[in-house]
Amino acid sequence: MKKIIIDPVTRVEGHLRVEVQLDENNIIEEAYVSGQLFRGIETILKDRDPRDAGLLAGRICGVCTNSHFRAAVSCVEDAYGIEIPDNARSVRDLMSLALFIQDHVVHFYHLHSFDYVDVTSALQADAEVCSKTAYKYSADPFRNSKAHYENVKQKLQTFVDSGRLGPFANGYWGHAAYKLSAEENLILLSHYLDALKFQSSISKAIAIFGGKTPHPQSIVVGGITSVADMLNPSRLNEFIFILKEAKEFVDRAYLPDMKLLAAAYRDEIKSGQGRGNGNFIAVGGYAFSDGRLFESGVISGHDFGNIREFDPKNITEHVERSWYKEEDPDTPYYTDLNRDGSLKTEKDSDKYSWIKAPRYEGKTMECGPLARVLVSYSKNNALLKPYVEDFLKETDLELIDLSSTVGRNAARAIETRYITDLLFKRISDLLQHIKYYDTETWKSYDFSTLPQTAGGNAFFEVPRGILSHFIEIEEQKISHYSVIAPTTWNATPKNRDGARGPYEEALIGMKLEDPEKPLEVLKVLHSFDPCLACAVHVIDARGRELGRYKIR
Amino acid sequence: MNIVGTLLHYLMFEELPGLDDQNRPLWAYEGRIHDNCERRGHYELGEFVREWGDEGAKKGWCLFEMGCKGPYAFANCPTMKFNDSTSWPVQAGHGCMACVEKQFFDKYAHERKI
Repeated sequence: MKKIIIDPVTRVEGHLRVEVQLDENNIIEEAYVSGQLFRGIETILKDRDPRDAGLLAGRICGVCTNSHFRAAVSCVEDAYGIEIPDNARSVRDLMSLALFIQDHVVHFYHLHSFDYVDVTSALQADAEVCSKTAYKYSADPFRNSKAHYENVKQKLQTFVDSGRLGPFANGYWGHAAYKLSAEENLILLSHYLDALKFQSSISKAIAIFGGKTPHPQSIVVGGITSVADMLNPSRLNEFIFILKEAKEFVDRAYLPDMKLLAAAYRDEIKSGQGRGNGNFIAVGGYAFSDGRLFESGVISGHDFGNIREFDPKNITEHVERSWYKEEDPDTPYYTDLNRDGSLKTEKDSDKYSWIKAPRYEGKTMECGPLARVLVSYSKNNALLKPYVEDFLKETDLELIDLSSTVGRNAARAIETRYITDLLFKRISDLLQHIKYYDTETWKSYDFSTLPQTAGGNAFFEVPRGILSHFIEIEEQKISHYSVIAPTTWNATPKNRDGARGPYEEALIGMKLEDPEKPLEVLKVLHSFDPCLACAVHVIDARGRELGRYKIR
Repeated sequence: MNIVGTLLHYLMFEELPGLDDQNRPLWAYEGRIHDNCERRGHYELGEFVREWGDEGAKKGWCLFEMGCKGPYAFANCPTMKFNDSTSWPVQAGHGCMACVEKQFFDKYAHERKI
């Protein structure tokens, strides 16, 4: 029995460590995933004014930025029963949805694509063949001239010649698990470079309403502050034009690349590599005049015909194997590592992660783009369905195939294209309000007359899955605060029942070509888009059921 | 951006930039935000936003009464702005939170006047 430790896992957000145990055929029999850093933002929030929750909670993460800010402000609004005006919801949605687009593209190209793209092989590509190859996956490929590919090759060659590979250093170049041809590698590398500019551009769209990103600052309890930008026709159109440019890249580069991947890795997809236990959870949301972007629901064991209703009361959190005291789960309790530096995992009472264990009806759940796509598709969401069907038809795949390493990325790409298109409709709602002279952006309230005691929560779909914030207010100050982030669900450690979290479960049964170069492990983990800063947090000591805040 | 700018300063001029008393590069952190703010004129004229989204907010009036910490913060946000000069918090209607200053969480991260 061989143990492989990867620490830190790179090209993720935060501090992730994974230990896998291999049998004599290098097949993974057991996996332990650990969140490695505790920062305690919820502890910092104690005793502060609830109106400031957003500013502080936002600092939980600068990658899924805005998500925590919005969720924090929303749970305070929930606690006080403040209903924000439609325009405020629209602007918040515009920022949130633009973030999805930015986040997903950055994730696929800059954090994940090198698990599929062998950069050194791209140097052997024939630029003309590249150009022709791209037409297999798009009728109108992005930046597809032979000259452009020659240019990219030259850039790469300059790096390699200088002896300093920069962002391309330290990859497992030449690994047997790479399946793309030299030309396919060059196409994706070319898009990797384009995506650097892309993400900078779509970020500007968020900054129009948010002031800046990371950490937009225009959300306040009661509404939003960027009313001047909202009423400025030039700013509104700036947003739309940026979105139009974004759509070009998503339609003509991102989706075709995903189809390319689906073709090249078809065997892997069909064999279910990277598949978890089939439990998925989604809270849905983003309603607007045309409908709702995402449905809520719970799937068990890949049973797509049987979607259960999502009920927050079924959420519990545990610390049986996390570094917190069981008698007082708010208190960190680090039990250190083994003498050889590995995680303590021998006994089922051993604690091995800073991440807590959220469970739904006692079971582990996967959330994220895959969960959203599966739930919304299976619930016949008319807005999303065509996008999924389109992709599955062009790649000749089935719904179940999405539950895999590559499939997770496909779901992410489908979701990105879907959101990009629907964002144009979403902004129409805002424009219609303004057109009919409704320019309200803030619901007035007098803090001194609000209740001294209150409790609230907020559930949102954010890029990596479900985000939930819970707040308790006493004497007009935050008395307790808790966050369950998507990665908390996905990177959860086991409890004493031994049931593996989504990351751990997805690794089981996978064969490593070369244990010294565990590329396969990285591929699976990256497919979830880990964000560890979000994952580590404190929970409510008073009751493990986190969905029962009705104190007023 | 200030990080990259400082690196570039070193690469171009072959020396580190001048630093303030907290060792922050002067080229970025010398100016007080309040002094470089585009809404300073409204401050001087007593034109303040009193409630989020009110008429003053729509006209871009000063956010001091809404807790803007611009007078206490030193950075280049109003001039260099963020995301390719797209915007910055005050332009987006929310006061500065002095997020570059020491102990900002405790001293400045709130929406009330000090």
